[in-house]
Amino acid sequence: MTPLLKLNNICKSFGAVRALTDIDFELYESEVVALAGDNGAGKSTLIKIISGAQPADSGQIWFEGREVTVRKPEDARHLGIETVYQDLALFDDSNVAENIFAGREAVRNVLGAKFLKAEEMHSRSKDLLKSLNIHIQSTHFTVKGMSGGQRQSVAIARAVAFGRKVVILDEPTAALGVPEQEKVLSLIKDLRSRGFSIILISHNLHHIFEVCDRIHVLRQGQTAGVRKKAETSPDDIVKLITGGNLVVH
Amino acid sequence: MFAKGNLSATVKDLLLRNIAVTGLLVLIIISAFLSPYFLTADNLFNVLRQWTMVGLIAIGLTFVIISGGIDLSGGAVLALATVVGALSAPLVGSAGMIAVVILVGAACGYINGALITWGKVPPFVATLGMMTAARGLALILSEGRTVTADLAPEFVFAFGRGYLGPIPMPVLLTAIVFIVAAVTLKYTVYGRHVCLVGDNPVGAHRSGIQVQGVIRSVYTLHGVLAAMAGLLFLGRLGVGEPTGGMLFELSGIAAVVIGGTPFVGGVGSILLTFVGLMVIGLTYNILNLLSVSPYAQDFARGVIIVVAVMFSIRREARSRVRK
Repeated sequence: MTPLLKLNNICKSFGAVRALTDIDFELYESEVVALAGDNGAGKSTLIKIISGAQPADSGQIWFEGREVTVRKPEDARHLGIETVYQDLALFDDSNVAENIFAGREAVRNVLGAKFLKAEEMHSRSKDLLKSLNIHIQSTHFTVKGMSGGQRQSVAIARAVAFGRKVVILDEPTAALGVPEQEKVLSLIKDLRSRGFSIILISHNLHHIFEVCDRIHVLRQGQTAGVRKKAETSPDDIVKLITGGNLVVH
Repeated sequence: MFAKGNLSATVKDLLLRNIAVTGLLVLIIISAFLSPYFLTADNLFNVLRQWTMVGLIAIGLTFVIISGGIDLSGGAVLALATVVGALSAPLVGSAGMIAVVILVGAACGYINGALITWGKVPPFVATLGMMTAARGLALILSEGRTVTADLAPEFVFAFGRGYLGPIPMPVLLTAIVFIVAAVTLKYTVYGRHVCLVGDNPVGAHRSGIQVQGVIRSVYTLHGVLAAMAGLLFLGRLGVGEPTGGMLFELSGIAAVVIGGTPFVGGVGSILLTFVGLMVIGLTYNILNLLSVSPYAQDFARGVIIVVAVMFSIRREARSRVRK
């Protein structure tokens, strides 16, 4: 089976600092891959390259078996890769439907002016949330007053709308209460069962082991190892992350 | 959300959520008792006509403030527009003059936007510079004097002294601009993007919105509307006045914030800007009708603006639902 997304020999430097060296990365259809590593290991740089926020210095990217260039966020979006950032993902003063449709509103042309199809956007948002089992009272509510879990759910719903294939989640469970974390994790599992492929960045090994199929560990800008969940243990992953043979716990 | 439930509940909800609306109604009721002249068509149309120029600037300011910015150059651009209009009218005719004036306004606004987006100058500073520079340019062009203009009677009719039935033409023109602006803000993609840019510029950029372009467009729009206000000034007074429109931008800002549009941007309403404008306008009017001393008037206006804004901001903090 060919991977949906494949990276080959990706390198990236910032001045004299080598942020990433010869990274190979694969993501298959309906798969959740965790990107693990200590702070500064290169996780953020790698997802910025995949999402087009920063171009790689060298290396190749394949998507659905074709070599592609990803140098701008629009490039990634055209391929069907969407990123949910940890911060600033939502518009506080806008309601749920306006958030989901931000930047890609449903419009009707009247004498050259683009008018919003508000009702259509609300009903489509409602259907989307329902299909993802996300419970939000009304798509007319602004996201300002919502709980962290609800906000994260709206941000994820926004990312998977419009026929996306790959969703990159940057620390989706950080800063959430435990019940809310569980909701987000079950949403991730649900997305996988619907055929989405997910790259998950997390510091939380419990969460990684709960939802991931494979774990890709980075250390100092290099791949420290890629493990299938069934063939590894948290201790093993910690060893890869720290680079030592110490057994933590 | 207002569709369901009975009428009285709807009205109650509206009044509780919009302190500016409530304030305006209270102001009208009290004023009607205090002065027999207050609730006459003549008086009310007078007030509306007096506030058309500030009204146009306030519309531009609503867009600018929602986008997360501020513009202090409205009054100065108005003055420059009147001088340019008075000087160019004999050369290019009325239609040409209108085009030249609008172009000057658009240029001033675009320069503001360019300074803010490309020059990375904070909006307060960029537009403060424009306020001083436009006023200076108006004084240079007019050599510091009032410029008398030979204006076509059609122009004076349409922009200044004409009436359509009982409605003064400037009031009619301003009303049309208010309606178009309100529809644009609430029902078009452009209006939505202005809100998104003010709410979360980084998120807007990531969503594929041309954030810098939207910012330049709102300042350009503000410049055009300030120039339109200049045309009304010309139509009404028939002269180019380099010191005209002094402090109009501050009245405009007051109207916007009394209407409940928060300074941080992201949300706002043209209709409530109109309500805010009327709160200010009718306050001035009733104080005049009651022959309150001008010094006491200034004091009272200052207090009223601050109190009105205080209440409208509290309302903002409470409201959660947005249609």
